[in-house]
Amino acid sequence: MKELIRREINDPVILILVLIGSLLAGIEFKENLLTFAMRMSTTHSLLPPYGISSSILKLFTERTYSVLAFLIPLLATLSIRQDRDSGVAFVVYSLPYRKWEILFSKFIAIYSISVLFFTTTHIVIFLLHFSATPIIAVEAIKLKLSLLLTFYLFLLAFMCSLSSLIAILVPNSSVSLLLGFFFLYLPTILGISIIPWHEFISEEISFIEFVVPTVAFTLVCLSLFLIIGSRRDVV
Amino acid sequence: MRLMRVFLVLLILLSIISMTMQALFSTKEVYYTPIHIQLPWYESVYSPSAIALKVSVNGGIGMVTIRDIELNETLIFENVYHTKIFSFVFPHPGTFEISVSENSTGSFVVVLSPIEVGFPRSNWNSHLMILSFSAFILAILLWRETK
Repeated sequence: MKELIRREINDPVILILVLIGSLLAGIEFKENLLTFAMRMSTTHSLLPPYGISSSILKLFTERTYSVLAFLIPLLATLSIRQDRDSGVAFVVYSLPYRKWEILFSKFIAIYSISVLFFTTTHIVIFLLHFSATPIIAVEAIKLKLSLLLTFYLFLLAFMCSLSSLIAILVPNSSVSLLLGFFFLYLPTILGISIIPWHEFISEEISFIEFVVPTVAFTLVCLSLFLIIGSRRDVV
Repeated sequence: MRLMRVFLVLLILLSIISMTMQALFSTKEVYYTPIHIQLPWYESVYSPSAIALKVSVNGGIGMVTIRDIELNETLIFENVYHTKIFSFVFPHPGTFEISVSENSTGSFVVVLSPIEVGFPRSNWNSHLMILSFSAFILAILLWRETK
């Protein structure tokens, strides 16, 4: 399975798309850093790196989410659905691997690339912006790194699993892309999303309240994706 | 290997994007709302870049202090007798704290008006360092591939 994951991770089309998505997210992060209208009223004096560390997660806004809501279904469609539409699946699925292994390696590939690229973009843009005070910037990242990683690991797991499930359920690539975008984006703008990422960023809910529904939903989607995918024909 | 190359391209492009957006940032885009301070409050202001400012303080009598939260050092303190105007520089992007001394009387309104936006040299150097380092590694990878 390692070989399958390596092959999927090195797919040039997927890499180029993730690169473009990360650059768009990078522009958005930088724009936020330049236009924050941040003022805090306090009854006590603030100490470093409280000031800039409080802004790390807030770089991620709804506009960044919309980039992901378009990109992740596109990756899932190209990786999972496009193979079947173009007939390449006949070759891929004739390899000496079980169907679920092939599908799982595709999921792991798009998930790991997205996590790597988007987390790096977030950290690099933040560090570059505050590089005039490098020690403080690094301290701030250290302070919030676990939260940042948790956020991307779980949010992207949810997005990748839902997009993969849609990609395996629908009859062609266009429907997969459109429905993926619809199901990821619409609940968020209507405020009925079961994944409370917005509240997690604004620190309105605890770590557990964010992680539990996200993991539960991801496991359900991923299990359904693997079960349905391994039972369906490769067309 | 292809992943590594695209990753390095990402770092190069992120440095260029960050540098360009920072360089194109102008005073027109900076706006601070008037800050009202009354004992025992502190107010914190986020500065998106190094910025030269005109600071006008109106209100009571006392001493207004501006402190760099990131470096934990006092940058300036000015005695105010009802009104005072002085120039000041936020030396880098970050958070700064404005407070009044404990023996002050009355409330204060601080208005920050940006005069010029700068790009700190150390900030510029960090961008170029990431850019050149990534480009160097990428060049080695591409060289090996050609051989």
